[in-house]
Amino acid sequence: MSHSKFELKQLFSSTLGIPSELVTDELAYNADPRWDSTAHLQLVMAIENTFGITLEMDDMLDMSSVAKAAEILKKYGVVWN
Amino acid sequence: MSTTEQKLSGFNSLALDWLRTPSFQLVEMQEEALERVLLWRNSPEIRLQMVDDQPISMASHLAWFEKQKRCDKQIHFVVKHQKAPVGISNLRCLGDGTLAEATELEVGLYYGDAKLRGSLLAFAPALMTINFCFKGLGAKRLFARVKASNLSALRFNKTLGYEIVKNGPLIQMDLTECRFDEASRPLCRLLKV
Repeated sequence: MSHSKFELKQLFSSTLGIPSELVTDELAYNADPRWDSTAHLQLVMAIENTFGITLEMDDMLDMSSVAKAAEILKKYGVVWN
Repeated sequence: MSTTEQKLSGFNSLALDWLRTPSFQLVEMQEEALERVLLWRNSPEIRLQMVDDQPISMASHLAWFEKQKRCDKQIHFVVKHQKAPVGISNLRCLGDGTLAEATELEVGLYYGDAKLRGSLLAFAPALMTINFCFKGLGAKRLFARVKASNLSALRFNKTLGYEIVKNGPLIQMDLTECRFDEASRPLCRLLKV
């Protein structure tokens, strides 16, 4: 399944309520007050729904930045174009 | 057995099962935890969210602990993750009766461990505490008080099914078992609680 990084960043933007121009690869968990435990939960559920996958707990917890999320999703067969 | 340990001695083992998962345990607060708990309680980030946000002396803390040990209307748990203390969960029964008889309880939870505070795992002890109240103690309604400025806690509680019942500088929220079961389903699936 092929997806664009733009799509991933849009998902972060809409789920975390952070303007898309501020969603960079470096955006990190807990570095922005809007990305807290509740937002992280919503993000995990949105990622699972969007990409049709079920994340392992370690991967959910390890999803600490946009770049890390993109890297983790590769393990689940997501290809970035 | 200390007086504090006796608080849970009246509950059957099925009720107490809600206080344990492979990763987390809620254990009754004992003397040996007091120093650590005071450090957490006096840290600026925790005090900021407390109704009484003034620093607490060790003498006051000890006096509070002795008093609550003898009180059968409340209990304080130390939240342990992988056996390490990470926070506090507490229950206080509202109205007449003891904790064991209560139908309405006020629930509180905070994490001294900053890493856990912002983590997805922060939901697990909340789920355990609430399940213990509803399924273990047979409570009908839970309450929480959250400072209006604490947006993160308000969202956290809403995710668990809490609804606002009174607005103001200190927001009052309530939770029924039905709302909790519905709201917590995705959380339980993710966290395997």
